[in-house]
Amino acid sequence: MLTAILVLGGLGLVGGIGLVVASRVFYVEVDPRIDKINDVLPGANCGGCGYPGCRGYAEAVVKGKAKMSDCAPGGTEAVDGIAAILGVEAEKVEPRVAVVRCSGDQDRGKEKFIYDGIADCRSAHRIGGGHKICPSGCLGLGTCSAVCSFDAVVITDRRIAVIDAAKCTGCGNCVEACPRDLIGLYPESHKVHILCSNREKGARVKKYCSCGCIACKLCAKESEHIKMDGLIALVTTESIPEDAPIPEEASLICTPGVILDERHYGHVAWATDPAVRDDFKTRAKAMKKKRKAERDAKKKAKAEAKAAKAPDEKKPDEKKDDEKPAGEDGK
Amino acid sequence: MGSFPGGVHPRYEKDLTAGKATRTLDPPAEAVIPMSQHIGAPAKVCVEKGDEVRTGQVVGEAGGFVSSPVHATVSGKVKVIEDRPHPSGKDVLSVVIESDGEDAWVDLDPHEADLLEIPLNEVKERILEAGIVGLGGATFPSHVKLSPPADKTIDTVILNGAECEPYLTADHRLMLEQPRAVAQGLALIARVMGAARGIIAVEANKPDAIQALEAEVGKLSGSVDAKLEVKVLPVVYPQGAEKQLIYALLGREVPSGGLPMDVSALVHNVGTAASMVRAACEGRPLVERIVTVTGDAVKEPDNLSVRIGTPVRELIEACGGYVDDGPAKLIAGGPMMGFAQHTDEVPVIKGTSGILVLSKRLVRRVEPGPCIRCGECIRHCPMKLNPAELVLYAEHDLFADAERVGALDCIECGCCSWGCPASIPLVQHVRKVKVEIMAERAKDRKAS
Repeated sequence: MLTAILVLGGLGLVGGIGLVVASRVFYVEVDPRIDKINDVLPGANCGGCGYPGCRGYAEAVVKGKAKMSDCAPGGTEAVDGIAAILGVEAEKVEPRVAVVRCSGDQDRGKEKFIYDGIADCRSAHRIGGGHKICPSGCLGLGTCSAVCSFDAVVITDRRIAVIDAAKCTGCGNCVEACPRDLIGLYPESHKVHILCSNREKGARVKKYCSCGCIACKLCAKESEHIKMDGLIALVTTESIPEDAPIPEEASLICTPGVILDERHYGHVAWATDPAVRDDFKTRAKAMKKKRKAERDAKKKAKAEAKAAKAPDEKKPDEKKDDEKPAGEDGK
Repeated sequence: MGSFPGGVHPRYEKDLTAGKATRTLDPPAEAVIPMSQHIGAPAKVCVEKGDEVRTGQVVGEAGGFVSSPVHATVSGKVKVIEDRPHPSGKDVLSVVIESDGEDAWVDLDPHEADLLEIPLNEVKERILEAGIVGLGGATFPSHVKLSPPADKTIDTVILNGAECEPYLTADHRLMLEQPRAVAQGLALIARVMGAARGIIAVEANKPDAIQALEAEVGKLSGSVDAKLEVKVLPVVYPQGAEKQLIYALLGREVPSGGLPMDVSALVHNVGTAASMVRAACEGRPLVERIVTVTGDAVKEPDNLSVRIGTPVRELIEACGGYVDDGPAKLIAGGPMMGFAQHTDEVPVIKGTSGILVLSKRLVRRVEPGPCIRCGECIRHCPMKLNPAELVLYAEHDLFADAERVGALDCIECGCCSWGCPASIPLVQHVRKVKVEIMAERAKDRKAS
């Protein structure tokens, strides 16, 4: 009994001394800031920053390899936290959210055949260019939702991917996954999104889908932030100032209803709730009616002004010429 | 009779058309000539809208070394040059020719020398100019196959007449009706490659074709250096796959990632060989091919010799049209490796060996179940891969692991999907993996 205790105790002592020595000799200096930074990160290990997990990113930040704003899910909180730990000034970043630039679900975008294969957009995209006639239409098989760590991508009943802005952290995993390059990351201040990616001519787009951008340029006339890029309208301004937002008319003027105004409707509701579409149509109608009334009033005022002027100095046929531009305005 | 490991025995259904002599269809009123009818760079359009063209005139020049010219297949006026539906499923730039009904040919340039006397460089040049590609379905430009790198020698030329794909009988009819052209083709390719041995490989289910070929090969054997023979192979799918064919005939295994020339062999389809003879002797470009129109949803299945560019719709009309029940699925090629079509407006292209129309009775949509680890796919795989493992990697996007276990060696024959009791589309998973691996490699190449 005693021998056993002595032997085991002795072995334990030798082992213990060995461990103490080893921990002193082979001690690895770990920057304490890495642990601290790791604590302020969201801990989702989404990989959106391009480093292996949150800890990998924390190490990269401390070493100066990564920017403190690279953690999209962490947002401003993480940036402020990292800045405080590193003792530097926080970088200003505007959080980004992902948006699927297509609204052609099964009700709107036509399909050319029944796809009966594995539920992966990358596979479907390869078979005859995908089952949607539109070469840049969302195939709705959910490859983007499979890579989302935050459960932010919804595939609707009518087969289209929609991103819930409230859940999206802007990590960009879905952007990489989409074989058709339909998902973009936009600053949070972009409340207006153009939900189409097709850059073909309007006549062709109309054949594919009832809600495709036909490059009519009406929205671009409504806001300086929207510009035409070839045959598609894009919100081109990086960050939209609060005092000069995109007017809601930019969305209402669009006949196919391609433009989503998030100040009025959430993207998910826009894609799934028919009541939302009805409401949009009513508002668009009201807006167009109001515009027409304004135009008519203007025209009338102009005509009256002319009529008042005409009798004393202008001949009747000259007056006719003057009326033409007013008529064109009214078109 | 040698064979290869794995393989399956689907229902062949060749009786539908095997006994029907090839019928020549009149040139179409409007021919659609796509610029991509081969593997490699698409051809470049060299005519303009409104041009008058004659049959056999080049309308698209080869777009590179691995490419092939395409020719007008009717005479008439170029109606339009635009994107048109293509058997690949995508819209492809095509020259649309409105026929004048004359079928006036360009002046062909027959070679005065005997077939086996024509200088070798002229043979290769004529084959390139005639736009000949692999007619078995892979459509690899033939002149490229005939010009291997200097350090490779070819000792055996194999003509592939296995036609293991169910339903199809186009090659069978060709071997039966034009055995002389096939045998001459073998002699020609053997001479070009300097091969000592030439084999025509035919599956045992075509005894009439074997007999006809043996007679022709016997007539030729005295006049050529190479030893020519007809070999009979067991009936098993995919007997006609290049690597399986070489293994069954010669016992040589093409190394992973390698080509038949790495084991000193060269394989051409029998139809390709016959076209090569016509190109070399008569200077005749590839403007027509034999297409088997078959399946249970077409009224009178038949073998048709048609001009390339003829809409599939016209082929079906020539075979009595669809059955009253209507078609459920239209496939360009055979049931195992063919491509389902979404419209019958697609044209016949150089690689269209068959048009298969299936009725509702034969087309089912099955929800795939979970893998039950039965191992059927492994037993059937002629490349000795583990398809079940590949699917696991595919489902989880583990492309590097899939590459490690040989994803790129998959020949996409479809044996695994055919035999899967859970109806898992295994081939589609592997195809996805292959594309992703190749994309990754291309990215790496760009980066370095």
